[in-house]
Order: sequence, then C-alpha cells, then structure tokens
Amino acid sequence: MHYALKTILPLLIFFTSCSGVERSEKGQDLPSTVKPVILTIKLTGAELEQLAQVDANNFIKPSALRFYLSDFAYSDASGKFKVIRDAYLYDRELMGDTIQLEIPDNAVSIRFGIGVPPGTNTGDPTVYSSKHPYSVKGSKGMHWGWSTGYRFIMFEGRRDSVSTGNFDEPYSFHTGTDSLYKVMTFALPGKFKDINLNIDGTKFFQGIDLRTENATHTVGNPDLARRFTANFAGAVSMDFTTE
Amino acid sequence: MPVRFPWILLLSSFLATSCSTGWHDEKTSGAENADSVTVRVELGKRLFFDRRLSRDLSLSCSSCHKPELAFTDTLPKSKGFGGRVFLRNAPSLLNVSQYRNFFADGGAPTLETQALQPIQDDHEMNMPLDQLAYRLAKDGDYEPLFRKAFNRSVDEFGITHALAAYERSLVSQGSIYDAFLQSGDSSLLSGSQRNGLQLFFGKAKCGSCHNGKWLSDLEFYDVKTGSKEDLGRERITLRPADRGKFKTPVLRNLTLTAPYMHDGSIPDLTGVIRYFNRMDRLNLSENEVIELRSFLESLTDTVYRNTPNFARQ
Repeated sequence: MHYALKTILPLLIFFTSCSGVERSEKGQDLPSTVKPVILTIKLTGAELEQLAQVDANNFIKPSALRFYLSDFAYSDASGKFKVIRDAYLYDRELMGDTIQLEIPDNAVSIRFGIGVPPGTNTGDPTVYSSKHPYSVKGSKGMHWGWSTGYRFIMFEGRRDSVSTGNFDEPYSFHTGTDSLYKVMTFALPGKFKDINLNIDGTKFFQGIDLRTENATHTVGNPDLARRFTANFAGAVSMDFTTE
Repeated sequence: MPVRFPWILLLSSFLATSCSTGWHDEKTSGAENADSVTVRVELGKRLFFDRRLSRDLSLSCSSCHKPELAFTDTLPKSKGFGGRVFLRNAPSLLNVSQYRNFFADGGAPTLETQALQPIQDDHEMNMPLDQLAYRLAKDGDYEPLFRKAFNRSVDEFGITHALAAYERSLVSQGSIYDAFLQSGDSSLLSGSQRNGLQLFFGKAKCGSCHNGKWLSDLEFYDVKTGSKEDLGRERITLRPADRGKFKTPVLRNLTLTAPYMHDGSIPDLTGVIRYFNRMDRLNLSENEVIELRSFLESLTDTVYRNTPNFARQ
C-alpha cells in the first residue's frame, strides 16, 4: 500500500498539473485566460478582378495579391512579446482571409510583420513541411527561386492606360529583401471578441505614377519597392468587434 | 650578402589574417555522423551529374561546373536553359565549405540555399524544385538513396541538402603553395614564385584583398570590370553604394579557371595582372608581371582530381 502510494501520488500530481495548462503552437505555457480570437483580413479597393480607382486618372483591375504576415505576437503590461503564430500567407483564393490566434485577456498589444523576418527570409525553405507558407510549395510562388528569399508582397493586375475601359497595361509589384520587412504594432482594447485587419487598397499607389512606375521586382528598382511597401503598411489599420 | 625574405613572418601574417576574416571551419552538423555524411555526399554527387535537374534534361550542375576545370567551364558566362546566357562567370566549387556566403554578390548564406537558385533560375536549369522532386521520385533508384541519406522520401530538402553535402566534400589543398604553407619550406617554390609571392603581398598589393589561407577576404569591392547592368552586391543590400561590388574571388586553381573576373571579361591570367597594374598604377615591370603569374600558378592543385569524389559520375 505504502509502495503504491509512493508510485501513484507523483503521477497523479503530474497529470493534474498538466491538465490545467494550455499550450501555444510553439509549446510555451500560456496563462489560463487565453481565448481564441479570429483575425479577419478585410481588403477594400483592391479586390481581384474588380475595378478600382487609384487616382483621378487611373483605374486598375487587380489580378493577384499575396502577402506574408509573420511572427504574430502579443504583449502584456510588462511589454514583453510572445510569438503565437509564425506565418500566414494571404491568398484569398487559396487560403481564405481569417487567422485564428490565441490571445490572453491581459494582452495589451499585438504585433506582426509584413513580409518574412530577416534570418527566416534568407533561410532554407526546404526545411518546412510542404503546407507551411515558407516551404517551396506552400509559398505559392512567393519564394523567389532565382534569388534567395521571399517576395513579401505581390500585387499584379492591369491598368486602363488611355481611359477607354480597356485594361491594356500590366502592372507588377514584387517587394522583398530584409530591409523592406515592416513590423506593425497595435494596441488592444480592454475587451474585444475578434479583430479586423483592414487593408485599404486605394492607398497602395499613393505618390506612385502608374504611367511610368508600373513594375518593380525590388532589385533594380528598390526605391519604388520601398515606396510601395510604405504605402502598403500605411494602408493597414485595425479595429475590434465586441462580445 | 643577399637579404633573406622573412618567410616565417609572412606565414604568420597569412594565418593571422585567415583567423580574422571569418572563414568558416569545415563543418558538418553535430547530429551527423561520418556514415550519414558519406551517404549524403554520394547522393549529392549523383544529383550533381544528373541532367534531369534541368527542365529540358539538357543540363546538370556539372555542365557548368566541370571537375577537370576546378568545377568551372571555359566560357565567360555559361549557357543555361535554351541557350540563355547566365549573368556571371561560373565560379569554382573547390573549397566552398570554407565560404560564409555564396554567389559573387553573397546572396546565399548557405550551400543549401545556394543550391535552390541554379536549379530554379529560368536562365539556368529552369526547374521548379517541387517538380524536380516529383520527377526524381519516379526514378525507383533514388527513393532508397534518399531514405538512406535523410530517412525521408525524395523531396526538396533532400535534393538541396545532398547537393550541399557533395559540394562541401570538394576540398583541394594539394598545390605547391599549400605544401609551402604547411611546411614553411620556401624551397618548394621556385625562385620566380618566391619573387611573385613577395610582389603579391608587397608592391602589387594583391594581398590587401586576397589574403588568408584561401587568398580572399570574402569582402565586396568594385574593381571596375563589366557593365553596370549587373548590380552586384546592391542586388542583396539595395544600397546604391554597393553597385558593381563583387566578392573577392578565391585564387586557388587559377590556371584551370579562365576566363577571369565575375563576368569572364579577361581571358587570361596575365591579362588580369596587367589590368590591375594599369588600374591601380602599380608600376610593375614586365618581369614582375611574369613573376607574379608564376606565383599564381603555384596555387594550382594537381592532385585533387585523383580523389574519387572528383571523378565524373
């Protein structure tokens, strides 16, 4: 009896302690107040195959939009961030536009990157499983292939160059490289249910004259890639739904 | 009485520079044992010589990296898929295990990530990696080799990691210069080579960039050859100041790797020396040019090809 107690008691304590702890995708312990939050990406002004007005004279019809959001993390009052999801590739046709995150009640801010973080960007894509957004296959063509690293944002379509309704001129913006990685941080309200990540596509081409600046693969035209990336980051805002 | 050159001091300076320039130690992952490395090298060698790595089955890695030419070819710029001309001259693969980055612009941090690019680049082999894995998986011979090497089916990971393992095995240290470095015995070099060595680290200033054991500091410089269409290091950093900068090439086996420079624009070794003599106003005499060339010839390894790893598949 005494021997049985000595054996069973530690096991009992071990299993009891395990059952009260939730774990994130990375296996770290999270506070028990963690709740699932749906982050929905709401894109306006750049929907695929929809007419969009860039400025007074320019109309576009986007044909492809993909971008990476990476290293989602929250912070508590101490200001320390904890990563809760490593990568998401926006491709509405293939992947949908919602991301499930686990965020505790005491979180005060959320942070993520637009693009692929340095280190990972120049890392080895073959180490990921084929469904991971950073894998060769899972990247859906966002890994450059001919160069190290990933396209962070890919936005392509056609422009009506002579205002006749014929969308006869292509545009193509492929941004990448470490220096174009943008980290975004937003404050979280005290109470909320879910998150909307709003992206205003009408801001993508602010200050960019599509008549003369209609393509960049970053290399060869980094200035245009920088301006487009800055516009993209400036087009991102966040609001929250309540219970 | 003739002044004797302080060879021991010169040797010390090579080694000191070598330690400070961040060359990598020859490495394998701690988790790898010698057997698994050997299996991966064998698989990598088979892949290296396999033309199925190119979309139209016309090219293997060895098409541009020929073992008998220190893993280069004789072209200023190699020809890839459909005869498309590459951006740059094919570099030697010997001793790449010692590099800290790859390509003339330093754009790949590891051999594994380097292997991705020539396979997929539409100017080179033009073969998407997932399609290559699918193609090779249909070859029943490859499956057990991948299983043995990586304990996984034929996939992108195994392809790039096996190629990297093979490339790491390509070590060449059998030149007269290597023997001199190891022994400190300057009599191994001819009189002309000894004079050339002094010029190399002295009047000709080659050693300011070509230093350390492998004779490269692996830094990036614009030596004003080639057109500005090739952005060089700027392609990676996006800094205009890096336009036209390329990595200091390793000088080993130079007599096998003509033509020279990142764009293959100088056809012979004497031409390279004369180019820098003019550009840097070195004021080398014709005899000094010959002696410098003589030293550079001592960097050629005449025995590496006897190693089984270097034989064609």
